[in-house]
Amino acid sequence: MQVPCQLCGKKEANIHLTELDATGSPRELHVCGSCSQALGSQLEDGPPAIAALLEQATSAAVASTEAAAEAESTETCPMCGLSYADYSGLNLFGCAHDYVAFGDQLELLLSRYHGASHHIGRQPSRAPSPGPAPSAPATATVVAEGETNGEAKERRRLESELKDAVAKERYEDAARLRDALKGLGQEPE
Amino acid sequence: MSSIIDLAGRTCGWLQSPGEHGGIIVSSRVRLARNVAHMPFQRKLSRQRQQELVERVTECIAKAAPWTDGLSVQLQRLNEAERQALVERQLISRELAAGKRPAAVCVSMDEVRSVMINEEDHVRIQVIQAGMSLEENLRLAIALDEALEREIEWAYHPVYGYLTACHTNVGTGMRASTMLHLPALAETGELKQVLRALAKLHMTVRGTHGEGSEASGHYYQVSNLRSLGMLESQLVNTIKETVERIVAAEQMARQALLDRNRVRLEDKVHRAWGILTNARCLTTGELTENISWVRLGLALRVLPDPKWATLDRILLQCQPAHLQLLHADADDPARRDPLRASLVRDWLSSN
Repeated sequence: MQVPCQLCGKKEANIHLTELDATGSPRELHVCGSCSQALGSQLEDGPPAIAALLEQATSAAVASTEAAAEAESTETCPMCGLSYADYSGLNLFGCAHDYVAFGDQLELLLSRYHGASHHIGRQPSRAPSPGPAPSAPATATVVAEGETNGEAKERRRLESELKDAVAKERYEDAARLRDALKGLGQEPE
Repeated sequence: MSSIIDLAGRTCGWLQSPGEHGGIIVSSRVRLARNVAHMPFQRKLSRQRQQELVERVTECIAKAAPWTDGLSVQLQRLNEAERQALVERQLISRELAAGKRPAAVCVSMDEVRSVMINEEDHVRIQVIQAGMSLEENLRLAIALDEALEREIEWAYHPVYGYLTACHTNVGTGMRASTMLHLPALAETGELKQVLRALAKLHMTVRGTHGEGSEASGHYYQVSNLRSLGMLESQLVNTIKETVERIVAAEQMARQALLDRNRVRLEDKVHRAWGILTNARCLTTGELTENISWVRLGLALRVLPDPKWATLDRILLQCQPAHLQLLHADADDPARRDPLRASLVRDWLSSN
């Protein structure tokens, strides 16, 4: 079975670690060769604590992605002409399309500030009009037509977001969505 | 349609002490930031289009929320005192009052609901009421948002939610805040610890008039920092739970002040009372500081005399712009201070 590396998410994992936590349930870490080198001596120093390794490696990965994103922050919004550097100066966007134009940098910025990069709250009830507005990415939530109960609609939306978050291993978002679903109460029989 | 002077002469709904917990929770506010779809944000919007936006949104509000006897006014038509009176009543931000761009505010008769046009975002919906009213405020804010949505399409992205001019407001576009009166925590020095704990919970504390303002008279606004990745109701619940804990801490600090040194506390309260009932000149700063101690004295029954409503009226109508609008010859601070002192003496003695 081919598993992607849990740290970089790109290469195939060829080092597999398993550890039992306090409750006796197994916890697994799958990493690729380059990431294992980055972890280096810690792997040689005997059985590592997976949780600690993951935390450390994730923050290193975040830092390097951030550095990379900042290095290429030359993107400019085709709609309003604002560059990401201009945004950072005043912390004021020029138009709604900046959210699409600044893609990766924006995701990082949002995750850093909000601890999340996906909206799970209310949405407008009217359908968006066509126009030069930012287009919906593939993860856009589809709400079943004919649904009238607001809560059921909300539940369906959250469930679909949750599925998506789990599939993409965005576990922090998934936990938040699960809490949100719990907050909606039990599904009526 | 009301005028600003009509408003200034009235008490306001969000300031109705004692509210809950001996006046600790003063008021609660929910605001939603919205931008009109297919239109650049403020920094890329020409003055002319800003003016068009003011007119268009004002019209939509008149249709969506026909507030009888409310106020609907363009800020460039107001003088400085009128703008400041709106700030003092917490109906507009200091930024909107100071801004040079065309802007407007629409306010319901009871001042519970209001909409600012051309603040940092195109539209900011606000609902403010006395006590811990966040849930009710959220309900009202959403109802107003839904009514406006029938007239205006908001900039919305399926992943990022409601799009705002600054990344700190995106998603729900919501900020929920509660204004607290925390004199005992400030006096015992425990407030710093509370503030540090709040930062860890991704909440922030500001002065009375929002971002960058000083906390005078021991009033503090606790609000959420994050607006994305949580439901509106979750944000409200988080603030509510946190506020409950701060209230409990303030109550303990109040009891500690009484237990540790009752005489010292009584002295502080009575000195404040003495100043308010005898001074011949009072600055705004002196007034808020001393009213704060008198409120604490009243809550702890150290001082039986004043009525809460009188203190609220003083706090609201003795602010500089209110004095200027309601009294002749109050343009100059040097003339306002004796006027303020004389009004406070009169109101407290007739109580």
